[in-house]
Amino acid sequence: MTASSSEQIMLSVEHVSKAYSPPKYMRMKRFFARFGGLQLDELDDDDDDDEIVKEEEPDPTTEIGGPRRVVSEVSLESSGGAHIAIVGPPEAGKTVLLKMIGGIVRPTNGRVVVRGRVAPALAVLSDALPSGKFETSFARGLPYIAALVGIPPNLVRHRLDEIADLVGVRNLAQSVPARFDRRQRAEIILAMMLCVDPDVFLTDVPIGQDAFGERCRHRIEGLLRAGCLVLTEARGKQSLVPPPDRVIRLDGGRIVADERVVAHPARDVLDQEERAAGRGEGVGRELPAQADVPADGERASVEDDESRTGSDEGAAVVGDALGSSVEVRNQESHSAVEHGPPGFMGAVQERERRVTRVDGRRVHPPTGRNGPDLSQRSHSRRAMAGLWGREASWVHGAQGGSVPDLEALFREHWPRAHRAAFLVVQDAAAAEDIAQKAFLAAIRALDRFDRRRPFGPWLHRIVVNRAIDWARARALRAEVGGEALAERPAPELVVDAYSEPVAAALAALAPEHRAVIVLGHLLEYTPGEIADMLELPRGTVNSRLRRGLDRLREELPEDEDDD
Amino acid sequence: MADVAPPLSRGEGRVAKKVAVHSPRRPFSVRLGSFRCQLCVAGQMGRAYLRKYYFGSYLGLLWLPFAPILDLFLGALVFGGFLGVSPGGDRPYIVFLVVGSIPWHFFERTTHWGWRSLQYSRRLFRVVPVPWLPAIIGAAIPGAVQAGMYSVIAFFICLYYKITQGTFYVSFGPQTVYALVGLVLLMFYAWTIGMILGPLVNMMRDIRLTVRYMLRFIYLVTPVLYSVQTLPEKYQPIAVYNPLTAPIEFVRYALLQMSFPATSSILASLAGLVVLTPVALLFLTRLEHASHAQL
Repeated sequence: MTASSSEQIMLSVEHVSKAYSPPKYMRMKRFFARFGGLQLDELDDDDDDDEIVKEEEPDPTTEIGGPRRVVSEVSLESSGGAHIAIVGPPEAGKTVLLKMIGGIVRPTNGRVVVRGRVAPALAVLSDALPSGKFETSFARGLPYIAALVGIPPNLVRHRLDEIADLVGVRNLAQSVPARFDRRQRAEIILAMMLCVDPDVFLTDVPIGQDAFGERCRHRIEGLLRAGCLVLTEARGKQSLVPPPDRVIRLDGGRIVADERVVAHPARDVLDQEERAAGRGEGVGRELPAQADVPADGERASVEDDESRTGSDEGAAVVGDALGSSVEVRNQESHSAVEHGPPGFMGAVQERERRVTRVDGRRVHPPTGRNGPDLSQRSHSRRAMAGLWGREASWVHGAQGGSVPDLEALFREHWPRAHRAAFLVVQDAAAAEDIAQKAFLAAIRALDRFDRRRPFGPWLHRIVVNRAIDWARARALRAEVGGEALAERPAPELVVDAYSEPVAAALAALAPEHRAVIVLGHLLEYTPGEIADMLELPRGTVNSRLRRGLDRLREELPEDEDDD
Repeated sequence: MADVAPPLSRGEGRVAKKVAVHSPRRPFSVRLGSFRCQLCVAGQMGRAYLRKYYFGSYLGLLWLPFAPILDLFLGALVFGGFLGVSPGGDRPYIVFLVVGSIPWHFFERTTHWGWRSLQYSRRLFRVVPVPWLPAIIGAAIPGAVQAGMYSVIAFFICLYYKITQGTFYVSFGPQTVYALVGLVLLMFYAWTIGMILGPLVNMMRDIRLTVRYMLRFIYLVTPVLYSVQTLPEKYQPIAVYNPLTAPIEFVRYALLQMSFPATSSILASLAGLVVLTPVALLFLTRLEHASHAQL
């Protein structure tokens, strides 16, 4: 790195704010909807030759509010060769700030001055990759994404092999984006942005502990040495390697801490971020005891054991919170920065100690069962486009750490989740365990939950998938379902539609058939919704439903044929 | 696979070059960004429109030649055969029709995808608030492909007449450049209509339902199926002052050596563009700005 590049100001963010307004034309649209006697959701039905594209609209019953300020008066300046980590709780404005620096989003006030080529490796760009029915290959898709953010497409075309090497996918150029999940697409975009010789590199894509993550870190270190300014949105220690020179903490769209990391860095900030990612800040007060929640905390401890294999310490806290005990954690972030005990380097060193070497290669400790945290909080239109009534507000509150909202969500969804789990596994204790773990997993991942969608299907998906896994595992262990049935469920679990003979007949079905029948007939999901939940083709769901019902009919006594 | 070496080679030359300023109001040139980038985006979108239009059909892209063949066959049968419309001169009606169809269908397809483009790309715009203009510019690709299909058909029809009657009917020379002028004028008209209707269609479906009838009306008052000279005199001003007449006549003049468009027709066409294009750009920019500031 030259002296001039390191001293030159590469990035200057000057009193930048970003506010979003509700769509104005919605009022007009509603007027026409009333005028024409149509429902709002009818307005976007497409005609015969069109792809069905439903516009994601706010709930018409929700009052349209005023502008929402997501980033407020943020100023920062940096020269090249530095690594700045932007941390903060969900909806702190981290991604929007990065988008503004990357020129993807225009600020409402203030200005951003960037010298040189900016490479915004933001996960949101993975949604812009052409995919779906009119899919195209990465050879066309990546230059297109680059062009969208102002990077010469030819540069990407010439470096496709380099990107493929970095990603570790052979024939990446010929591969189709639709065959990769969102996380993989985001990683490919990260790789692409690392290969375009950026002067300012931004990313909110979590860098994992695998070989790809290792290569990315290697690249980033190279960029830093070459005088590139690197800004990362960090959600935990693991995504902050190489270690940052500076940690900026955002909260409520404002900078609440800006610490240069020398020898006494801010580990506690990062610890706090990790916990916040898992449970939402402020989930510290005690949850009121509930009839449906096991009070002994025993089942939560099972989850703890699993989650502690990785970095999801937050889950343990949530587990405790749902069980009985809780710890109060309402520290101000800047105080954490000032008084954080071992420092960030300590955290890095601690992690390094856990890294073993096999044949000279670094092997990292396993991450949590759910892999790296992929949570993407965004204030983009897409993410904020719908607040679906009560449940959405609970989810919103729970994401922000509100215990009453978390409790409300639990009360609302626990009985059906528990019942669904029982009907699939046919074992009361296991069902309780599965439903509980699923709920904990859902809460742990709540910050990546899309509030526009209902919470129930998401939870049921986790419950039913876990229940199927459990049932399959039991079958492999050659346990007998009938014996397990000897342990009767709690009376409230057997609803009218699923009387004892029906439950017994369900037990005779394969777990896959059981799951679709429970989802379709107990939880009343449509085959399309079940297909989405279980990631199956719709035809498979229909055939499983049909076969399952036929089998049920065979198993049931004549007078219960209708079930 | 070997690890990729980090890029360390830039060293001394790495002093930052270009300065980008992102502020609430960016100048038009900055918003457009680099021409090459926007061209790439427009090209990608244009290809997507093409794929989308024929996606799911049994014949797929075979519709590209079939649709014009059917269109020309029906047009020639009804107007040239049953109604006996005279194209003027000794050329067959089908030659007259196919040459007039080249610019019209270029305009029609470009307009169609121009006003559909923002709706089609709204997922992208919701995710990445990029400029809308490339999506509309990309609409010229399906238009150009359609015009290319009609051109190929025109070539084969003329070849048929060359073999059977000894006359090719279409000739090329210095005047051929007027065909390009006509096509460029039509392209700008199509983009202008796309810039105005694109955002409106997103707001109100009614506009989308109306625009088809509007285009049908324009088709009927534009001399595609007939020539201006064959119209009754009292209706001729409608065709002459139609801003799309001159571009179509330019193409016919360039390829069939028909009469040069009337001066009033050319002026009407240019005046329409001069007035409409800035208004459309302003309209698009304002709505784009408002949209990017919305949830």
